[in-house]
Amino acid sequence: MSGARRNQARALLAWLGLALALALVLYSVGAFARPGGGQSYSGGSRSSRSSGGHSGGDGDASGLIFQLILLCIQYPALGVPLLIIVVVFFIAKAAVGARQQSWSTTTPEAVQAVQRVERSAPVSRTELSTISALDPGFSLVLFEDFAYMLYAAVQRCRGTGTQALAAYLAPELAQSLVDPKLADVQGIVIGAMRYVRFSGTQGPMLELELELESNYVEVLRAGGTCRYYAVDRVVLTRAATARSRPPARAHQLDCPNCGAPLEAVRGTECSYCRQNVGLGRFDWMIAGLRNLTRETRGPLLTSDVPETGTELPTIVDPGAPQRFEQLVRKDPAFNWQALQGRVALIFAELQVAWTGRDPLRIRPFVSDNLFQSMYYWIDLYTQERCRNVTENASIMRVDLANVVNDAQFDAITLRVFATGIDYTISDEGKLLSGHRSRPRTYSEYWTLIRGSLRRGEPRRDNTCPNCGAPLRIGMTGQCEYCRIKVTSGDFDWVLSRIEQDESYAG
Amino acid sequence: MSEADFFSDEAKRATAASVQAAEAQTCAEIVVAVRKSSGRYGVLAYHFGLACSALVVAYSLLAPAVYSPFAIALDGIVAFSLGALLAINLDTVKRALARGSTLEENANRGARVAFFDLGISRTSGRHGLLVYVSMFERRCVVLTDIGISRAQLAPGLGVSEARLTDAVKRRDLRAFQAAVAALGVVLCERHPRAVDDVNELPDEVQ
Repeated sequence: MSGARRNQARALLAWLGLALALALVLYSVGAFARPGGGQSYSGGSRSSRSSGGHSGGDGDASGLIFQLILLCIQYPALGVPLLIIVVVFFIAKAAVGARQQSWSTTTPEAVQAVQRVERSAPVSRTELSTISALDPGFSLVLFEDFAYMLYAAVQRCRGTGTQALAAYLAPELAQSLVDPKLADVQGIVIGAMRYVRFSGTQGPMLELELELESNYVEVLRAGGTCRYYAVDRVVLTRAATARSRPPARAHQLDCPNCGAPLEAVRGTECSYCRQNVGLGRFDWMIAGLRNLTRETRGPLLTSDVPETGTELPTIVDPGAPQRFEQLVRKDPAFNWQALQGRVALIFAELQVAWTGRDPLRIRPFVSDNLFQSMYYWIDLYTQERCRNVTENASIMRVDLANVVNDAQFDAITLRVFATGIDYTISDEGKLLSGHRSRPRTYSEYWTLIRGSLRRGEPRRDNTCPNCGAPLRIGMTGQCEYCRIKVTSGDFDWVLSRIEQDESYAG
Repeated sequence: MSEADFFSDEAKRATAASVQAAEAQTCAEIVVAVRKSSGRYGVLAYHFGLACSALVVAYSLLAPAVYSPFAIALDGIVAFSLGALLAINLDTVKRALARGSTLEENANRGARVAFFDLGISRTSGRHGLLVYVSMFERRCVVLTDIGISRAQLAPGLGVSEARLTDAVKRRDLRAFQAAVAALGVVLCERHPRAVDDVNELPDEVQ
């Protein structure tokens, strides 16, 4: 039954109730009208106690409301119009109420038709590691470095032209990418990268779709600049028979085949090796670039997002404990306690760096990509004139989730359970979100990497893992004393990824 | 200035126009929902009926005139019926009997239900904003999706909410529509309209 009908039925019942009550009153009128009573209720005990002028023999006093109704009957000139007014009032009110239907300025049906940004289930990194079966030199860590570098180069070439990157771009994309209004695209900082889709291990071409969150500054030919925060989808393809570039070339864009400088590549043909190096024959190529969102303001920093997934069980790869044992056997100085010590050091430094908006503080302990991501967020907080403060943070527990070994790196994924006070304040000290005294418990998946040839106990102090000098690291990740890059994982475990419970896919 | 004004066809058209005026300045998607009531208050009518009944019975018992027990019982029943019927049909009586916190709670709950039912969280930028009016409760609730930071809009949005609530309390439709249109000015400070902005929550009166 619909709500309106139910209401009508209720109103009808109410009227019936009233009619019944009136009928009872009228019935009682008939009874009271009989002189001498004759009914059991004609002389109550109360009347016998009464000192008033009513005696049982006269019949009883009528009810108050009856007397009122009787008054209406005795004076119909007053009572009937009054009754009509009351009845008309109720009927009119019911009629008006029936017309007052709820309304809103949109309809669920119209909303259903709204085009939305689709979110796919993330591809797990384990799926990507199947590339190793085709390409033994494949390293996910190096691949991610390469993807970051290639994306940044493609963003730049929207302003400067795609000629130099022809070997890494699909021909149709190279033609459509350039924006004539742009002189350059600068300051490209990647905040996050997600794997959306992966296919092709059974076919001739591998295809991988990535989603990247970034910000960059567009320099206009007409003058002026504009900063954007964007989410892009990038499709990378590569021949299944291609081989990964050696680690020495992992951080530069050059001829995908022979490593000659990009200037030597004319169109898609390298003037050194005389090969057509385009179309993903030798290395990953961008086949598609699609912008999902682009805004001039950054992501929201002050919303109170509740923790989700902390109570979920840890996603543990079945082979992780065995592979961890293999690592311990390979390097007897390495063990679970030492790793936990390293994690505790990184955790503590991370809290200080994050709260202090000081990315250099954490630079020695994180990979290039994670540093870039942190720099992105810290810069956002700085721009928004607020800071995310974490206080009394401590690790409660660390679980082993996965261990991956590839040609270049060992990677260990841990689930870190921690607690701490977490709030955001403006530069003026006003509380914007969170709570200043209530601790918040959370968990995250941390992936630490180290060069597969490196041995030794993980360091738990702030000294250079190469020269032992007090750790002073610049933006590039190099020790200021020995000039060695210590953040690549070649010397000690560095934090490479932080994933939330809801996004970690194993 | 009456409650019925808010349910007229003219009110719907003019409010949709106010929403469009506001959205012309901001990328936020504003939706106005007007409801007769956000809760069920039938029990209050029965409470009122009981109170009437108790008064009549007490009067019958204590008055100098003597009434029979049957007459007293009958008067009690009739008083209950009339009182309940009166309260069922008079919102003012029910509103006076309801606690302020109950009215507040029901309006807030109704707003959240409408936010979900109308799909306001389905915008790509999560920029939805619901202005929920509950006439019985005389309340106006403004809910924002996670893409709109209330903290960043703090003073302006608060003033707008107060204006909307005041207009609803006074049942002043024109003031309400003006306050809706003024939301655009407040929102455009942090959420300006982009050139390629799409109206994701179509302004069709349901």
